[in-house]
Amino acid sequence: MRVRVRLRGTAAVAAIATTTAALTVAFGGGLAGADSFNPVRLAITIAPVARLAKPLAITVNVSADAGALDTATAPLRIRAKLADECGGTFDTTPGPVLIDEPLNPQPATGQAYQATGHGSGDPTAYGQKTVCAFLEEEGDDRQFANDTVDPPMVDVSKPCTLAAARYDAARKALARAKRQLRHAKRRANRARLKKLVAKRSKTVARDRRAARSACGPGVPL
Amino acid sequence: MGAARGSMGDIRDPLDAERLQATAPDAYHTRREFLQRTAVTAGLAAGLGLVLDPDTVVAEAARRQRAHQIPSPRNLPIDTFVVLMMENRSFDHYLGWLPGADGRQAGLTFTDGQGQTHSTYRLRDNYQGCGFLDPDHSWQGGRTELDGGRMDGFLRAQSDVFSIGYYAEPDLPFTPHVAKAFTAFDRFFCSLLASTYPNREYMHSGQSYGMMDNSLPFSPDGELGFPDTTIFHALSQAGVSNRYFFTDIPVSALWGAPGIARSSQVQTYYEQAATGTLPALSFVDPAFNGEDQGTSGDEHPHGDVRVGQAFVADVVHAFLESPQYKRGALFIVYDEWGGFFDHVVPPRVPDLRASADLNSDFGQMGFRIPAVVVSPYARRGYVDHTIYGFESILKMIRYRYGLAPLTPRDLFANNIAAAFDFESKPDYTPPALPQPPEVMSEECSGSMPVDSSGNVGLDDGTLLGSPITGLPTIQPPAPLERPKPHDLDTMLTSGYLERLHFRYRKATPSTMFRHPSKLGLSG
Repeated sequence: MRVRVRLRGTAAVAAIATTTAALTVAFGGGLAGADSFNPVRLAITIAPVARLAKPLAITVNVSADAGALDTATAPLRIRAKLADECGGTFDTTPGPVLIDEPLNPQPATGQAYQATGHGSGDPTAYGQKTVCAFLEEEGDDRQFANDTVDPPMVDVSKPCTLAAARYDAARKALARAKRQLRHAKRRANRARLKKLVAKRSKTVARDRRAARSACGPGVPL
Repeated sequence: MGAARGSMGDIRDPLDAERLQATAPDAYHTRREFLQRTAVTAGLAAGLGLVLDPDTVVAEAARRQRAHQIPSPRNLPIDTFVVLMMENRSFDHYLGWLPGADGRQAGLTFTDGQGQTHSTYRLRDNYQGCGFLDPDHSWQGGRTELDGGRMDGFLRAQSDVFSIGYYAEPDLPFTPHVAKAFTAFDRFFCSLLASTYPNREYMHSGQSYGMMDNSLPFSPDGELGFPDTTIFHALSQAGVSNRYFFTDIPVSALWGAPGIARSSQVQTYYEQAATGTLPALSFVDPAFNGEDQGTSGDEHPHGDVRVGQAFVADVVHAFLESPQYKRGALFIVYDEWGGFFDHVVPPRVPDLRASADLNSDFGQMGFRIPAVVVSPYARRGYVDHTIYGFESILKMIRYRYGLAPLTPRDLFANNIAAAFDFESKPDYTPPALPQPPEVMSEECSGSMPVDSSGNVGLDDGTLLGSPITGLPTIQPPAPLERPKPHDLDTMLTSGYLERLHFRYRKATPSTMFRHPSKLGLSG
C-alpha cells in the first residue's frame, strides 16, 4: 500500500454565533457555538471508477463552523479508507488507506476552519467500494466527523483495470519499438521498425480509447 | 444549455479531459459535477455515456443530489416525532440476520474467564433467559467486553452464555417485520458504554450529568432530579408541544418534578394517536418493573421478549393508524446492548466529559442496538449504514424546531434526518405488519433453563454453553452482586418516586396495551 499525502489549509476567523456565550456559560465552555446541519463537514472528491492496484487519488475538504472543533485536545487527523462497508471508526474499517494525515494547520480556538487534504492509495479488490472518511483525534481516535451519511462510492472496475493494463502494455511496446527504431542502422530493419511503430501507434490509440471508455475521465492512464 | 454543451465538448474528448484534469483539477471536477447533474436533469446521460458508464453517471449524479436533499427546517415534512425506547438488546443479538445489514450471529466464538471457548447459539423460544445471569452491561463490564476494540470480552464480564445467544428472524414476532418494512440502522450505537439510566439520560438530554451507573439524582440539599436540560425543556422554551409517556415507572422522574409534570400514562399516547392530537415530540417507554423477576414488558432480561414485542407493535400500530402518521416519524430504539454480543467497535466521540482515559471517558459510545424508523418518508426495506446515536435523533428534532445544541454530543452527531428520503413521494400506505399476541410475562421459576436446543445456563457460576441434552433441572446460582442494581425499579423501591408524589401503579394488560380486552385479558 502506497499512500501519498499533501495537506494545505487555511484557518479563517469568523464571527462566533450569538448563542456561544449562553452555551459556554451553560456547559462550562465545552460547547461550540455554531450548529449547522453538520458543524464539521467532510467533502470528498474522488473518481467514481478506479483501477485495481493503481493509485486512486482523493481530496478531502474539511470545513468547520466557528468553535466546532474547540473541544479537541490532541491533533486532528483526516483519515479515509476504501471499504466494502464503513466501520464505526477508521481503525476498524477494513480496506486500503487513502489518506491518514494530521490537519495542517490544526484548527484554532473559536475560529471557523477550512483545509484540504490530498492523498492516494491503491485499491486491493474489485467491486463497488465505499469511501469512509473520518476526522479523528490522535491518541484516543475520538471522532469529530465522519462521511458515512453520504459516502462516495468507487467502482474498482475490472474492465477498466484490464483495458488500462492493455493500454499500458501497448504504450510500452510502442516505446520499445521507437527505441529500436532510433538505434536501427540497416535500411531494411528501419523500414520494418517504422511499420511496427505505425502499427503500435494505432494499437495505442485504440487501447487508449477503450481504456478511457471503460474508466471514464477521472482515472489517470 | 449552450454553456453546458460547450463544456461537455471538453470532457467528452478524453485528451481534453485529461489535460483539464492535469492543469486545473478543481475546474475539471467542478465542471464534471456540473455536467453530471445537468446530464441527469436534462436527460443527457446518454451523451455522457460516451465517456462514462451510464449507470455510473446516473448513480454519481443521484448520489450528489442526495447530499443536498434535506429540506430546510421549516420545510421538513415531519411534525410529529415519537421515540420508543425498549431495553437491553444488541444489534447482532436481535437483527444480526437482517439482509443487507452488517450482522453476525452463528459461528462467532468467545472465550470465558476460564479459557473455555463457546460458540454463539440460537435462543429460539427461550424468551426470558430465566436462570441465566442478566448479561453485564455496566460501565466496567462494557469495557471488559470491548477489550480494547477486540470485542471479545462478552464472556469475561459478569455474564454467562446467555449473552452470546441470539434470535433469528422467525424467533421474534414484531421487530424483524418492522425492520424489514421500513429503514433499519446497522451503525446505531447507544450513547454510552454503560447501563440503562445513563443511556436514557443521554436520550433525554445528550448527557448523563456525569453518572456512570443507575444512581438516582439525590442532591445533598434534598433536591430531587437533574437540572432540566432536556430536549423537552428546550422544546417547551420554544413553545413546541412535547410529552413523555410511561407505562409504569416514569424515567422522566430523573429530572424531578418538572419531569413528572410532563408525563402521562401510555394509554394517553394511544388516545392522542387515535385522535391526531399527539404533541410534536413524544417519548414512549414500556413497563419496567419486574425485570429481575421476569415480569417486565420492556424486553430487558428476564422479561418475556414477546411482551415487549407486543407493546412495540401496539405503539407502532397506533402511530401508523394515526392521522399524524403522514407527517410523522417514529424511532424504535433500545437503551443499550444489555450485555449481549456485537461485533462492531463503537466510536469515541466528543462529549462534555470526554477523557483520554477510557475508564472515565463519557465519549465512548456503547455497542450497537437495534434501531428502526417508521415514517412515510423512511425508505422501505432499507438498511442505513450511517453512524448514529441517540443524540442523532435529538439533532433532527433540534434541526426541525431550530433549537440550540444541548451538549457537544448532539452538536457533533450525524443528523438522522439524512436517513430519510424527502425527495421521493412519501408512501402513506402502511405496510402489513403483524399484531403479535398480547401476553404477560410469567415469573421466572427457580429451575435451570434448558431451551429447545438444549442450551443450558450456569451451574454454580460455571459457564456452560454447548448444547447438552437430558440434563436434570438444576437450581440457579445466587445472582452475582453488582455495584448498582440494573433495573429501573430502584426508583420505586428507594422511595424516590414517592418523594416526587408520583403514584405508582403496576402495569397490567389494560395499562400497557391498546386493546387488551380483545384477547380476554383483564386488568
